[in-house]
Amino acid sequence: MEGHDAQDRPLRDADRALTRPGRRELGDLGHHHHHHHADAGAGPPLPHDANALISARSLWLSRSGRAILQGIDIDIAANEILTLIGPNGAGKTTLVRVLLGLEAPDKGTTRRKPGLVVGYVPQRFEVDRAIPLTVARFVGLGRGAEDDDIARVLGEVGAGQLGERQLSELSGGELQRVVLARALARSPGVLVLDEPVRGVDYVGEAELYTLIGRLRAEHGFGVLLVSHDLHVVMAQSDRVVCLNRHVCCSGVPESVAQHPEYARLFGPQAARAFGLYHHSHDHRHDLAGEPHPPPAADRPGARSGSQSDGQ
Amino acid sequence: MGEPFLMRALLAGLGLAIVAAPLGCFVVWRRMAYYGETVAQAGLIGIAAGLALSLNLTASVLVVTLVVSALLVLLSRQQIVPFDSLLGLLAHAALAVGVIAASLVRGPQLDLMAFLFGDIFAITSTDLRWIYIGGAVALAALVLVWRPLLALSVHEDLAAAEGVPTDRIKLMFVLILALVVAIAIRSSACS
Repeated sequence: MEGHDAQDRPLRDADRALTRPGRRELGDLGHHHHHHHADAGAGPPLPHDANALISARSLWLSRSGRAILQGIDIDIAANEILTLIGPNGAGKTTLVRVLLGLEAPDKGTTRRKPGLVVGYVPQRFEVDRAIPLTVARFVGLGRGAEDDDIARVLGEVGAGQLGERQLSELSGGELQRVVLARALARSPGVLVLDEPVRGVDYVGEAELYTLIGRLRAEHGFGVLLVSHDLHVVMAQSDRVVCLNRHVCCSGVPESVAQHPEYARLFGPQAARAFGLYHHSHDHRHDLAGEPHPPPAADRPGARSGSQSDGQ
Repeated sequence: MGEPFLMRALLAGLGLAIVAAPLGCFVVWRRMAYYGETVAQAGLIGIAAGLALSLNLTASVLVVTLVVSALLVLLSRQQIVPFDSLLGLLAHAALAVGVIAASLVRGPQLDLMAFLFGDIFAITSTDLRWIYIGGAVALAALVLVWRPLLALSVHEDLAAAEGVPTDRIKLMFVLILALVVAIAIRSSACS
């Protein structure tokens, strides 16, 4: 079975830097409680990965006495889709905000590749109805994009017909695509999406991830994707980091899905469901668990290498 | 129509409307209606101070509104008291202090009601000059910050992640607002 191969496969080189994070206790920090992760022999923080688009080392952040980030090391490489998963309250959004520079960590460093352009799709996007703003103008606000660029990126995300609509009239799924278009209009080096499928139905979700995979293949940017749901995301990811205030485990999707920490966090069903999902390429499951034969071209389980076919 | 005081009132009203219209959009979009209110009521303190020290009233009001605006920006960074409650407190506190201060320096020259409710027919040509020069400065500054200000009004985190210096832009906007409040106070009142 494919899953067993994956389980036995050692972590790739790119994952090396992520095998230790969260396991070290820094001597001068007394306020956190994860003693079972103590690793007294750990050395100084790893150096930043010079090739990474965004590289963070030993991020600590606490709010109201709760340590939300506990010694996170993370690197986002060019041309990879890195998915951050974890239960509610695991600090996923906080980590993203620190990586984006929206919030300063108590301790630790982030480093960006010089000149890196960030495209961001935030978790919540409520449009104020009092602000009259067409979709095209909204997309142009991200950067002084030309009209041609705006039309092009809207077309790329399948929202070409929305340009003249008011932003406040859009449905949740349309709005997500438009925000994604604004990020693309900036020609980003890294695309950061914080739970982009909120309020999008299951099919829309699979489509959105397929779209992100295809855009990555075309543009070659790095992608940091946050999600608390697993199946479709993991099938599109090159690398998964499982976060629960510290990095529980990380690696290629299959290795994370088989990891005991992952099973502990999400329950054994999640690991099984992932395996089941991943092994069955000839159908997909609806919300009731019923298998549906999908059109062959847009299997949600398509791996990154083959995802642009048929599009 | 030949009455000079009517002409001045008309010109003052037009000038203020031209400045206030675009600024007012942002005040609504950024949900800052009470911000302007608070700053305006603090303006009464400026009037009292100006009378006590025999300064140009618009100038002293301008100093007070700028200082109060900057203070509010600082206060808005604390996360404990919701900002609207803070404005509710400060607006009335500022008005109370202003009324007391104004009555302490009250001479025959001060018509408190004119400042509380505004009297566009009492506009002088000096006031008009303030409105047009101050208004031009405010509009020019607003044009400069328009794009980033619109971006952060639509979604502040998104704008910040895209590199908009949000704190600086917000401060700029608040100072523009303070300037417009100061030039409008003679005709459109503190409260």
